[in-house]
Amino acid sequence: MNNRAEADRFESMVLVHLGSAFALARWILGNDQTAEDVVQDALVSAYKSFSTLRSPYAKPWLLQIVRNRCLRHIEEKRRLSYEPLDESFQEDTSLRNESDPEGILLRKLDEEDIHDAIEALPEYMREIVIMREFEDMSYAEISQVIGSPIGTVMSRLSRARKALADNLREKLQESPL
Amino acid sequence: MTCSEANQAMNAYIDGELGPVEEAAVRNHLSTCKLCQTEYSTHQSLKSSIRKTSNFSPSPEFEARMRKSFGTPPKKSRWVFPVWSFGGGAICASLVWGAILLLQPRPQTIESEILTSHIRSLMPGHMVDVVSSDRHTVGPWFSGKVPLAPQVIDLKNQQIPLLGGRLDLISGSPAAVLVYGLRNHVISLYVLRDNQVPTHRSTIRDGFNFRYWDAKGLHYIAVSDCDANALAAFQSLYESRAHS
Repeated sequence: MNNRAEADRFESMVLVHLGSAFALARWILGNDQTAEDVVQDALVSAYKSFSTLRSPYAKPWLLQIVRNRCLRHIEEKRRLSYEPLDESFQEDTSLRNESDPEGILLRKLDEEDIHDAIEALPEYMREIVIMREFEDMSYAEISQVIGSPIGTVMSRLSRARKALADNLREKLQESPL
Repeated sequence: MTCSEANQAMNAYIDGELGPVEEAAVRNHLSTCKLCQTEYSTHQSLKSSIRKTSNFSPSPEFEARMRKSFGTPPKKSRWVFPVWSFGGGAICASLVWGAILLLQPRPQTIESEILTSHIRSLMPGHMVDVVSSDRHTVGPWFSGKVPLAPQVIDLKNQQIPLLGGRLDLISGSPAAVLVYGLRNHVISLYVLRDNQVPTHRSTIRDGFNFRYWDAKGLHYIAVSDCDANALAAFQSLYESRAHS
């Protein structure tokens, strides 16, 4: 990509989603500096493969690259530090199938509680909550980013919301407002 | 619909991901089942709490660095100044103006692109990406998808119903397209920001009529195989409603 028109296109189609790319990386990696490094790396990759983009809507395409880079970063970090296998991206089957609590006064919780609850989710659930609630992406778009069927998006989102509700209910019980 | 079925569909329901039939079934069930209403309230409460939470955002320094690295390079105009300084202003101006005229996209190019896009949209399954006659659904749908905010006008009472919207690329730049129905004809209204557009107000190409106008920094181009007067009336209605 060496002409001005292509650079203009990259700016108007891809760079406009820089905020979303950073937010997703930050939620997955949990650190500003690492998120910046990974997003920069993802933008280099996106820049090189921009000519292969066929859709006029680049956000799912960019977030897919960012997500892959994040996962690669996590994997490399684990390998270098000889940490035990990070199971955060494996399906969590420990969630109980009980019905949601009634009448949780979630609106009474402060922002920090909700932030903590989202960060406590396993990555494979957290990324879907972020894309759905903060990025307002459809199930089909999220499915494209994570490379899994829409049914997987729906089941992970459902379990993520259940886990969030359980977590926040516990917070309410610990310190009633 | 049973409570179990309603519960299964609850997430998709609050996310607006159900089809009209399923959505109506859940809505009907909720209107009669207090247990599921509580469930629904909890879901909505959680969703709204998350959405009110602030998201992470990149630092201004990082954003500036990325824009500098990957955005449009600054315009190179250094060659102009030495020529001007040598007193060859008039010659230089003529050359530059000539070059601008030569390099400017010919109006036919954007017309032919739009015509191709419009004709392609008439094929089954290509007309709209978002199907809705509600401007409050179609307008927000473009948010974040294209770097512009088209004004979506409801012309249902004028017998020109909104059919939906779609995304397209015109000369490499993203475009929002609003689709209206006029009797048996389809009107595609292209909303562009970055493209060079013709300066004339109307034209006809291959039997399709075009209307052009600008509003609030955006270019609007309507194309349809309806007659020229009907398309002019559409533009007039659209502009008058947009200003009201």
